[in-house]
Amino acid sequence: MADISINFAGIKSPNPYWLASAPPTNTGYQVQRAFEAGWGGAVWKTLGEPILNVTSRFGAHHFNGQRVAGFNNIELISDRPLEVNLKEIYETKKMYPNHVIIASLMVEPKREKWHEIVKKVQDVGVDGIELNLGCPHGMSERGMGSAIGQHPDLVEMTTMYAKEAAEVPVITKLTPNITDIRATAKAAVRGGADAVSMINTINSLVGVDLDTWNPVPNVNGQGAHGGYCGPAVKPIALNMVGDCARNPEINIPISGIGGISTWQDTVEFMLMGAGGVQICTAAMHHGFRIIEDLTEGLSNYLDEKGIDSLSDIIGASVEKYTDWSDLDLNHKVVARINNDICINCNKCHIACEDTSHQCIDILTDENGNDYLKVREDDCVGCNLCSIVCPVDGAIDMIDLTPTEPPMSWNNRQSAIQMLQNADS
Amino acid sequence: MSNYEEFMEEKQVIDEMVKQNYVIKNINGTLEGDVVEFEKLGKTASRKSIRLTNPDSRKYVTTILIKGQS
Ligand SMILES: Cc1cc2nc3c(=O)[nH]c(=O)nc-3n(C[C@H](O)[C@H](O)[C@H](O)COP(=O)(O)O)c2cc1C
Ligand code: SF4
Ligand code: SF4
Repeated sequence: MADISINFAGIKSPNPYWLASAPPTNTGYQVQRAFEAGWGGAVWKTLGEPILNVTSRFGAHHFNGQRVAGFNNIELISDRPLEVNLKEIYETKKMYPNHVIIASLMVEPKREKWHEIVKKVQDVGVDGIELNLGCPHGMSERGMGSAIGQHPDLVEMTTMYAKEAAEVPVITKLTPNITDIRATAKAAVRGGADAVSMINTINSLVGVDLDTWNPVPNVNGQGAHGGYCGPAVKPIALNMVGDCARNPEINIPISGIGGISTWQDTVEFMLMGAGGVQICTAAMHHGFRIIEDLTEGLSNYLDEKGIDSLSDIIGASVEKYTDWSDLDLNHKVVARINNDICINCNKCHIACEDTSHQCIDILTDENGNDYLKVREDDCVGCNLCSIVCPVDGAIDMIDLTPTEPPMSWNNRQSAIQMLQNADS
Repeated sequence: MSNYEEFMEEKQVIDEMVKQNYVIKNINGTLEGDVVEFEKLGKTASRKSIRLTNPDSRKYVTTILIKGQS
């Protein structure tokens, strides 16, 4: 059986699955239940000066019968005294020495405040520290969370403060509410971070109630922007992980977070450069027991691929993730319909006719039955028909044998440049 | 006219220029497509320019250019 343990920035974990800092890691009772169920690690609910929360706090985006396609919250950090959390961390670590406990921290951007809290959590035996520089609501209005995480200089400074006092690895958790997350990831590297984690939640308003006209969730009729997470944010998180992983200046491990619900999502994040993953919404939706499918699926996948160790796949797809301008303009893909599988619903025809390149023809065979055929010469290989087709296998996207050598936009522009230089 | 037919028409023009020993001297991107200037050297030296509007022919012409440069 494949080895699914990881060594993340020097922190050894029996598997890559850590619960992200959030309600599932609020107390010792919960984290112990999670470890008992099989989770490899837990990033404790963010510690700092205990806060006050509002009710209600959560909202969800249900889409077409799919519950919790996205999840939204306006909850703040831990509302329990530090001492109580520290005692429970100490007890939990004693009971589960082989499982990982990371303390997530958030205090004001002052050197002595960071030194104080880092030393306190270190004294109870945490395996690492995560800096919550990403919470987008409430705390940011007080100059913490994403108010820090949106400024590279403050990210660097805060990371440095934590590092000055830390003897265990420091993971800087980044906010996605920024134009280019690489700027803050680089700042974390400059500040001496041992790793970065991404993403925290995305600024969001999940809905407005059509009867009351109240924002969702609402607090006595009023709402405030919250943080969005869950399956809907996965592509955003995956891109941010990939973009950081392929940047040579961001040469520290990345903990992947955001919409991870299955072992397949986990494999994708790790292929794209994550050294481990963190999960919140999927655990809140389905409970800690999902860890069984997560670990079993991952093990089976590696066994089927003949891979001995999970670490071997980390970053394996990163070099395939490049700039658009380096993609091959001469590569040609076309759609091909398998008429023996197609149920003639015409969805592909309508999609191509109305919103793509008008190249799926409805033809009639010798028995007078309609069938669909792609005019491959006109097909631009956009994938839309295969995306909307409700029947697996009815449309194949075929890579055509190249007739010309590869040519990217960059190749093209430098060839034109050479020509113009020679002409002038 | 379909995209493919348009491409084939423009491709034919490009191929004809190449056949007549014209070489690409310049390519300028404009809002109306790529203006490609060809030049033929020798006794009957001359310059000709064509405008390519089809995306596939705009790829094709630079593919020819790169092949010629390598
Ligand atoms: C209700 C709730 C509370 C959260 N609280 C925290 C927190 O205290 N500290 C923190 O760093 N992230 C917090 N997060 C963000 C998660 O740790 C995680 O980054 C985010 O939910 C994305 O992961 P997911 O898509 O698996 O949920 C919270 C998320 C939720 C849903
Ligand atoms: S791939 Fe795009 S262009 Fe080709 S048939 Fe499908 S929808 Fe039309
Ligand atoms: S969408 Fe799929 S099933 Fe429907 S007509 Fe097209 S190929 Fe057939």
